[in-house]
Amino acid sequence: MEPKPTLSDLLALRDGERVEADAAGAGGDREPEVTDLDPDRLDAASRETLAELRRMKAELNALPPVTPDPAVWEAIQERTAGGGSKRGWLDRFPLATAATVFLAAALTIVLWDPTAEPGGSTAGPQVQDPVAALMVRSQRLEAELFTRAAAPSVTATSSEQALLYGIADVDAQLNALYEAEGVDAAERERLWRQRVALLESLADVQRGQAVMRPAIY
Amino acid sequence: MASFADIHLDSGIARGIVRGDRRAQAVAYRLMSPTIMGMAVRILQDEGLAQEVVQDTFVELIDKAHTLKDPAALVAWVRRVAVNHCYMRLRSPWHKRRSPDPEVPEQLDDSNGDERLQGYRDMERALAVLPAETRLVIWLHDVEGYTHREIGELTGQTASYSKSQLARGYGKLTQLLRGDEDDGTQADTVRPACSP
Repeated sequence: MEPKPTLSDLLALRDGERVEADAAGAGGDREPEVTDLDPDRLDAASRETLAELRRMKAELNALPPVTPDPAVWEAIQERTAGGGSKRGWLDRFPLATAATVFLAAALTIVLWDPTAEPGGSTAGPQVQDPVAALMVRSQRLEAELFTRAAAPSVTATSSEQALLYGIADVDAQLNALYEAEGVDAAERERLWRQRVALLESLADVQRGQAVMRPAIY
Repeated sequence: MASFADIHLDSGIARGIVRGDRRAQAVAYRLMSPTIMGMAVRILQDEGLAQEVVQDTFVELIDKAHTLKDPAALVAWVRRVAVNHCYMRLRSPWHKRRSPDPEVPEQLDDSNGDERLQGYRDMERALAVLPAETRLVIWLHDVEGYTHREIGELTGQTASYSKSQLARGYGKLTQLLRGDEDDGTQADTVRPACSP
């Protein structure tokens, strides 16, 4: 006659756990033959208990997630902003930005034809590719922003931070695009346009602040 | 579903978190905080402590994500951190002191006709009656899929300790949800609406 299984045996049966393996880790305090429990040979009461254990497990797993109070996210942001605020806002530029500056500078050198006839534009290198032109524009704006950021007592306002995060986001997308197989030219141009627009907005904000500061102080 | 296994974090978001991107952090918070909160509130049975677990878990994520070598392992990492924060609170003398003995669950509202909702409520109330460590074992094993050995390692006990806690917990849950007489009157109050 089959020994009557314990609740622990039924739980192991429910979860498909191998008793021998567990017993080895637990000091071998279990009967190895329990692993041979056949659900079809269980007595009616044990079958009913097994079904109930399965139902309870399903109920536990069906319990809904719980949304925390909105104040929790605010508290997290406050606690993690402390470390960031010690750094200059330019430190928050992702590495991709530095790489972009380098890339744009290199591209400028490559695209700039020193033998070109003077008289066209006096604004610098002649760039035909729209993406290359955007890269150059991006580089100039960043150079302007870097210069301004080097000035003492310049800290990022919330609107500047929002723009910087926007730029970081675009940089991440650009990184992903360049990492992907076969670069999507239209998407690349769209992202570069978006990046330049964000940098221009950032430069505008900072120019505005430079004008306002003497009036404030 | 309230398990971490149900969270699918886009690889771009995971990389963004490792990079320290605020927007990626916000997306991750939206995706993961309800699961962390759900786990913590059910194990600790204290909403304030559960919110603390969510907060501490995310602060740790934001502070340390840059050390993570494999962004694909981020959800598993967050789960481990959240579980540790739950366990730390569970073990703290302060929490032990203020944890009341298992209480008789409140009388359920029989007027609610939604049987499934009623089932959830019964389960929540029955869980609340269990000892804290038993709740931890049940949740980690049955919802998060921890093995008995992993639970033993977390709690500094053996796998058989985890196994016996699970069996004890289910024994109690069964009594409570069935409304068995042998557990006294509290069992009768858990699911009166289901009695024929």
